[in-house]
Amino acid sequence: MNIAFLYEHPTWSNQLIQCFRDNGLNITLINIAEHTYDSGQLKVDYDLVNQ
Amino acid sequence: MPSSTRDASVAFHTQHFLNWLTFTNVKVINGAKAHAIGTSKVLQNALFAKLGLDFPKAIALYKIEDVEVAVDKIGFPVIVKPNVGGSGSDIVKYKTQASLNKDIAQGNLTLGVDSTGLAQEFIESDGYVYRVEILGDELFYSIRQKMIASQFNYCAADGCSVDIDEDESEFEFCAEDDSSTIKLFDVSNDILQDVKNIVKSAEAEVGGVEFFINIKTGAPCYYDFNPYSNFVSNGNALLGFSAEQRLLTI
Repeated sequence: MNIAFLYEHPTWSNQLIQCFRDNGLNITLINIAEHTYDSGQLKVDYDLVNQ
Repeated sequence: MPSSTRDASVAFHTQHFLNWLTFTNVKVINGAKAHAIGTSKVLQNALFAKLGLDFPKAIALYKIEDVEVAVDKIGFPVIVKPNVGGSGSDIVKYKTQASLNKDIAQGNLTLGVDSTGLAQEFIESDGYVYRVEILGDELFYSIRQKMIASQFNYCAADGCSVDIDEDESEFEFCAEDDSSTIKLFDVSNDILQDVKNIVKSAEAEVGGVEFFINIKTGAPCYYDFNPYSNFVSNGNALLGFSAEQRLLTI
């Protein structure tokens, strides 16, 4: 299962991200404040549909 | 999400991205609708009204001068705040027409990143802010924190501090600076059901609701839905457990 974690907050996010790592969860991290994306691409690799 | 320490416009970038994810059929926990409600006090009030809950009367507005129109309906004291808020940023309480007029004349009043805001009635509370956090359809945890007299803006979850005018501010609060003011509390079944209804109606799977107790009615008065606030910094010290670890073990 692919999971992406969308985050922005400088304090809350770090602890939660570390907790994911400590528990062996493979999470794609997306810092929304620095995130760019192709608006015309209609498929993303962290799609959880049908997983 | 927005606060005085971060660029509030990121809320709009997030909204576009979540809408785009919805459009591309990506399953999103706390998706576009939850974010839209979480970043709009107007939508939160509409949600509280739809659910038949008590909340402070508030007039939505766009131009600063329309605060005067709203005050005719709200009276004093009145709270003026941005619609796209966060951590209590840019919230100001006015006790008199003179103080409001002064700020308007001097250009000190702001309605935030998109120039939309609300004029809201001020309700006397029992001195505490209560927050109930939900995960899935279950209680995650519930905390209360004492308001700090003469301060207004606060952020229990991250310890943000906000620079504001001391003359008009009421509740600036930093949980990490004063952990003795934040405590777990036992939420009643009725309030828990209210909170669950709010979170479910916002289409959130994790989120918190804040309220205070109206001292005139003794009943909860809801004022905030937050799809981001669950992970209290330094939870081990403040709450006696790590919200992050609890998330992974539930």
